[in-house]
Amino acid sequence: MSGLFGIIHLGLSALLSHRSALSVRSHNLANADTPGYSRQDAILGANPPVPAAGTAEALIGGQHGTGVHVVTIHRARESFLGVQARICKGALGRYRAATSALREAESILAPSPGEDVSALLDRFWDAWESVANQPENLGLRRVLRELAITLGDTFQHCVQRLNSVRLTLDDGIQARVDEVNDLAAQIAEQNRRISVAQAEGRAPNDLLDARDVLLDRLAEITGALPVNSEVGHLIVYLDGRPLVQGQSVYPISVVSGAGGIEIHSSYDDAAIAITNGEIGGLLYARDTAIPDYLNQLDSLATTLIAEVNARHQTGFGLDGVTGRDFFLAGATAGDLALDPAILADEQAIAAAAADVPGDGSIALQIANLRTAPVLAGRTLNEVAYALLGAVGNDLGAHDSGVQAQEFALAQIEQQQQSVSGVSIDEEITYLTLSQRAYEAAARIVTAADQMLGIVLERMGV
Amino acid sequence: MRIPDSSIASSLIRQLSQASARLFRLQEQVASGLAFKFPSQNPPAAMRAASLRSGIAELARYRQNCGDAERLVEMTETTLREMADSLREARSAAVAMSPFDPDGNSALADQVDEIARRIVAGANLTSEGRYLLAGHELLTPPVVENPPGIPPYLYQGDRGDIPFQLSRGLSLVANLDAAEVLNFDGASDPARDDTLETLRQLAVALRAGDGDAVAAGMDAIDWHLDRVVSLRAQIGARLQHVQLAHTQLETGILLLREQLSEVQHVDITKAVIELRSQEIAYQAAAAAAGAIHRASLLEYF
Repeated sequence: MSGLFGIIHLGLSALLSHRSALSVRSHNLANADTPGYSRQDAILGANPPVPAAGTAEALIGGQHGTGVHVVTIHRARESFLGVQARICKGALGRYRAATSALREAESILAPSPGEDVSALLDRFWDAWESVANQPENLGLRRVLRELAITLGDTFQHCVQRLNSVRLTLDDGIQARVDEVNDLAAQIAEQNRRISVAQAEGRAPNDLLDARDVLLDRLAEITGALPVNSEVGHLIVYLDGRPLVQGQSVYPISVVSGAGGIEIHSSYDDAAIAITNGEIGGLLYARDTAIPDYLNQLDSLATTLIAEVNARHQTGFGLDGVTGRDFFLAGATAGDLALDPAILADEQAIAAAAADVPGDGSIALQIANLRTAPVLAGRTLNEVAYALLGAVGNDLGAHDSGVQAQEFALAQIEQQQQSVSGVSIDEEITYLTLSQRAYEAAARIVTAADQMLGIVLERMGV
Repeated sequence: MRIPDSSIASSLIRQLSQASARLFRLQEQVASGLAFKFPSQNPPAAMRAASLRSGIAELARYRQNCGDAERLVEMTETTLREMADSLREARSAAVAMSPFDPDGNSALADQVDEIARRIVAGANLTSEGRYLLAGHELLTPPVVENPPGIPPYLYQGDRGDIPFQLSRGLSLVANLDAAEVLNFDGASDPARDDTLETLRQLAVALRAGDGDAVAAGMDAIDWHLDRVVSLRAQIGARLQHVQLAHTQLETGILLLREQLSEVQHVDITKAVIELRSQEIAYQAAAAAAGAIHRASLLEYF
């Protein structure tokens, strides 16, 4: 049985413990809106009773409690959900980053219905057929030449703008690589602080939250998941090479390569492949999607040049000359232009199969390329639609990917919030509870003090 | 399940932003009338629309060809009709020959010469600077006077065909050339003279008052007249062919346009109703969120 001083001590332990609990509640309320904050709980436990079991039990009727203490400050966190959220964030980052580049590509290749390459091809064939019907008409020949120039400019414009999108993507990759290195340095610093706190036996809850925010952002950029995440010695790998290992950082860097910039790890100075996260999305757009569109544009342009020129060479211009090209020979989509002779004089356009002004049979042959399956069993127009379809499908799939990942992430975050989020009503309830407990503890001290007063002032007087 | 305040806030933001994204999309559809603006919004429909637009462009081209061919055929037909009339006139002149009226015969011969010049003018018919009966040599008059000697007229065309595509792979030759019409160089019958030579000989026979020669000339003119009339029938058939193709193309274009409209245009009534219901959904979400946010223990403690 504890004495009166013991009761004062018991009251003190209650005052201290509930003050501590109240301060944890206040911390929760203060951080109710802090991103990445995990709700904390002061876990209270009863102090060991006196005397030890078996001692003078008969005399005092059993063990007496000695008060309360704070066992630990618990961080409400479900690490499984954290991993799931990071996986979603990596995929979401990839889809989002690729989407913005693909949207740009779409606006280049499909500016608005009726102004894309396939619509221009339609007008180009039409102009050839007009010339076929009236081969001697110089006005129609000029119209054809202007349309061909526009077609060439459109191809060139598409190629130039797609290439400039690729260059912009390089800038985006560079900026994110810088951010990754910055995050890695901060994570290593947090690792150090967490190790120190853990060595001192303290629960580094807020440090862990801060590190989780950094790791979340890192996952969004690279898709990388940390290993051994709840311990101070945390490792993050990128393509098999460590980026952060405890307190060491192996920064990544960008190096100019053949197809644009590459990412190298300073761990072994080798190129690494990042396929997920924002960097993965940017690399996909730069190295897979846009080059694919450029290739399709190129094969469309080179086939157009070859097929038109092959027919044009057999024809005669109004000036009686034969064997000339219509498009500049050897050009690609990026420099599609007309032959200088055609540019100089529309009479050089070879519409006739013989040197007569009224024959449009060669022009008609060229106009009929409209329906000729000249490129892998497809017409040039069909290849142009396929290009539109490819861009649309790519972007559509990425848009759906963004939506699906956003939905999944929202579900996971909801569950995470359910575990870690701060509910103001709940905190206020507990706050009131702690406040009342504190008041009660004060009353214990007052009561014990009054009893002591009676002993000191009135006994034996 | 614990529902912390941040959860309510983020789900409210998500719902409102989803609702406003749907509202924006519908609003865009209603304003533009288009079901999709970019291929990514509906890739298969975008490809189909592009292909339908090309199909319409192709048919519109054929329709324009039909118009061009129709004009050419109609002008040729008119020329043939005038030539037939002229030949009938020449025949009447031959019939009117009288062995006792040399002056009258000479006047008839002058009339036949004039008819010959009219036929030459008809054969050299131009439209927009092109000679329609010259084959491919359409910058050169097909029938010219050959100054010295006989025959007096020379054919300068090349008998080239001018085809017009009326549909994929189907062409129609819209022109006739002067050689075929007037039997130049024995184009239709090597045993016979050309029309102008026949008329010249008839004029000579009329001036000479040679009844036998005039009778032979009348026979020859009959042959030429038959020929022009049969060519006119042939060209009339072509005109019908072109007009039929024209009508079919109009129908084809209309059908494709309807399909394109189905693919790319939004059903306005449906879109407006959806827009209204989305507006209500948005307002309901906002009102519900507002109610949750107003409720707090702080009001009671």
